[in-house]
Amino acid sequence: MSTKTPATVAPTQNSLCQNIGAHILRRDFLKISGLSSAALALGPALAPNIAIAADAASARNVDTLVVIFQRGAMDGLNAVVPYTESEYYAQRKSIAVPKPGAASGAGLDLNGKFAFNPALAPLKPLWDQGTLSVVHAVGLTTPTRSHFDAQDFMERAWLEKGQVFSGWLNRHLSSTALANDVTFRALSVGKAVTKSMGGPAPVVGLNAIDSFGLNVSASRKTELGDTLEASFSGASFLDSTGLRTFAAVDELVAKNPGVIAVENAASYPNTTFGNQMKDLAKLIKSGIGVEVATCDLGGWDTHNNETAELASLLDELAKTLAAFNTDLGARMKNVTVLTMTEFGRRVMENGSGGTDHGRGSCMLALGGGVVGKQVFGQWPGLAANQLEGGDLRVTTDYRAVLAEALAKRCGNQAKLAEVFPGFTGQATSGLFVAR
Amino acid sequence: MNLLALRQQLSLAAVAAAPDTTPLAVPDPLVHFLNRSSFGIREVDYQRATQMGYAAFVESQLVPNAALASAIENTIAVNLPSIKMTGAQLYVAYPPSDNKDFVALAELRAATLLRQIYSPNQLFEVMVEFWTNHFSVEHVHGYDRIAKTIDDQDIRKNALGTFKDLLNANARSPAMLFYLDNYVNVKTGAQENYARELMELHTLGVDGGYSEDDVKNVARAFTGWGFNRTQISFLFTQRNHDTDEKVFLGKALAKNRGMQDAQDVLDILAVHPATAKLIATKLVRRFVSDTPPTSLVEKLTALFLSSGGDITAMLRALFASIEFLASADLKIKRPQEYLQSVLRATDAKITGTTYNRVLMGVFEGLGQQWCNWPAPNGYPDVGSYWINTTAWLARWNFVFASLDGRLDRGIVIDALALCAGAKTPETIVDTLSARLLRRKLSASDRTGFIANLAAGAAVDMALRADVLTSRAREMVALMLSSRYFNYR
Repeated sequence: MSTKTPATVAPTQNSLCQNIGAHILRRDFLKISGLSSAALALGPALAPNIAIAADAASARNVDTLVVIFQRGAMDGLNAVVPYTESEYYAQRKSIAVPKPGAASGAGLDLNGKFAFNPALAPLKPLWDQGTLSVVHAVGLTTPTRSHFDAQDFMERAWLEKGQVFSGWLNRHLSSTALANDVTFRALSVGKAVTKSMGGPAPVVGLNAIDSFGLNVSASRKTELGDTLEASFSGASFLDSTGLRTFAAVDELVAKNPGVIAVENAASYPNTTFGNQMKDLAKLIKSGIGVEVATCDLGGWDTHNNETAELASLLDELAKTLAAFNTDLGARMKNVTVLTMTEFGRRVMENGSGGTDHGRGSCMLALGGGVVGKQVFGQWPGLAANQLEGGDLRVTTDYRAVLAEALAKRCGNQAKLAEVFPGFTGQATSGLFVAR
Repeated sequence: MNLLALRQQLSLAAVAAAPDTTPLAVPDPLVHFLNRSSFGIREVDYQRATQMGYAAFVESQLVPNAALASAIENTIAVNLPSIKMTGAQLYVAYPPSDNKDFVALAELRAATLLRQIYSPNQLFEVMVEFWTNHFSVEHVHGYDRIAKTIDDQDIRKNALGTFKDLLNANARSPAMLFYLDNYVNVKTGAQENYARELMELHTLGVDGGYSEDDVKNVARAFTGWGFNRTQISFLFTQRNHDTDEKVFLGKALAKNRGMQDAQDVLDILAVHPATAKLIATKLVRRFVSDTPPTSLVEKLTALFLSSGGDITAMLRALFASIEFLASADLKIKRPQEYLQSVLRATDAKITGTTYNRVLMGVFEGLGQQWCNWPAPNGYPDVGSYWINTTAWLARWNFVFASLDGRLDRGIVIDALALCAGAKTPETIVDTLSARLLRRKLSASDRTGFIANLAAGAAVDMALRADVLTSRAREMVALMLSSRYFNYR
């Protein structure tokens, strides 16, 4: 964790800041507020050092890691279909995705064994180009089938209740601290900060660029902002997040990502998720220093009427990821996108054209550093004796995938034990190339 | 009993989730109770509470007098006719076939908003929200657009009653039967959605001691539980029921007993110690701390079991507890409580035809529209979920827009009236902090606010007439934006 986060503002320093605050730009005030009072007296003279802070993220020479959580438990078997398994068709009489070559609704063949759900068609070119891979039969090694426990365990990367309260991405950020605080280093896109991002390292939550500003029409906008900012002078959670809000607003004004155009004729779906990913691309392009970002896409709990519901969600996911990839263009060389979901769904369909809670599902890995065009992992099979309680077994610990990504693309070979406490397995190998 | 020591202990417990060691002076106990048990403090309620005193006021909230709410209930009955309708009436008046059901949805949201703002029975409305969230239904889908109105009537009947009555009503609620798919849970293909969440979320809790086999058996027990699509009422269909024997928590449910299978399951769940613990924990999380102190959870768990799940008895003990009294500033307002409390604290005048749509847009933006959480676990009740950079901006922008009259012309906040004749920066800040925050500002905040108002002029001289109104508005907005007002 940076030593210059708003959370470290001590009350005594702060009252001093208030006295001289009028002479110091707000963002400078924040950056220097962790310094000694002697340094504070220098005030504006420190500004040149502060201006370069945002460059620190690129100086770390790492990918921007984008983690998308598919809340509700995506049916991996109908997303990336094991179409050579006779059991798949035997157990899913009404909802199975037809084999490649079928007259209608056919899966899109990947490798002679697996096929994309046709709704994932926008991702097929990425597969063909070799920047997209699938990890199948992946998930939690603990067998919970509760959405809320499973998401909680996954995001904290601690597979039981209690003891570890921060998220895995927050520990990654803490364990790869920068000398200077970069306000937008950790960005949770949405109305709430994801649990994977929660913890002591500061995080910016941003729902949309165009609403991220203090909308005060009064002529005294600066004075009001300054007084409000100064009132967050304690050591509480409200204080640290309040101060960070002002820092983030100033940073956004300086970089002005809102005006950055979508490139290469990329076309995002006009949905919440589509627009959030569009904004994320703008922020990445702006050079504001995003090193880790999260975004959610919910609604995957397909107990009922799965075929239509899943197609709609996969379509939104695929079109958005394809647009993001197109929009960022050559920059994808330095971007890694991972999708994850809390578990998969039962092999046998239920009585309402859907599936109940299961175990293994699949992840997607996209980016210049991904070894593409492979269905990664050990396939456990779908025969009765190969299942776990009727569900696809988990043969790859999701933490192993995250660990390889952090080690090879995010410069965190050294502190993986801090990020994944209690994880004794090996990181996967061969899914990413090292930077 | 050492309140300060306990407070420190509770604060330490909270650190694990979200560091919070604020040194602000705590509000007095009555203000603390009002903050926690209401959607913000209206002047008229504060006066009533002060006259009654702590114990009598708490008791009046625990046993609400329906007559007190007759004004707002009459307004609702006249203007929002769907609220009191039966399912059959709703189906005719608000048919899903031509999207009239969205009107029913909007009316329920509007009624909820009005009750939360204007009902003097605030604790009752808080408990309605609590159970609505406990038995969370995403309102916007299909039949739920009208069925939720019936569900709401059930919850209001039982909000301060017994858990068993709440659970039995909810298990038969068309809204829940639709939302968690039990209406398509049939013997030819059991469907586990409701069965699992019934145990995990509504009763035992995820660590409550049930197995995956129990999930499957409970799903089978509930086969055939559905609803009549035109009456919007509970309907058990024997031909869809799996008549074979089931086993639940080691107890055999004999075959061929129809509805009784699931009723046995409900009866077991309603009085189970794990259920008692879950409900006690959630009540303590709602009213005391994001990290519920074990001592109070245990006390309320025991009370649940000895009282037959009497909610009022549990709340009475909660509000009398030392843990509650020591818990100031350990809870943060969620968006709904924040927005309502702005309107209540300022005695905002709300008129016209557009305010409702505008406020619903604010709820949407803040992330807590009534009954719109996509998952069956309900909106989180921990501050760390609700507060971050984007959430702060949404709160501040709502407040400043409200004060400037930019939000909606039907929402008017009279900042000068709130100043009650005060005209100097010092007296305005002192008057407004007493009225809106009802607690002492820290010395540095008081100084900072006064300096802002004075803007270079003397702090003890009346503000110029031409800036008085705008400065008063700005100060109200500043205070409502501050940390003080965001604690619950």
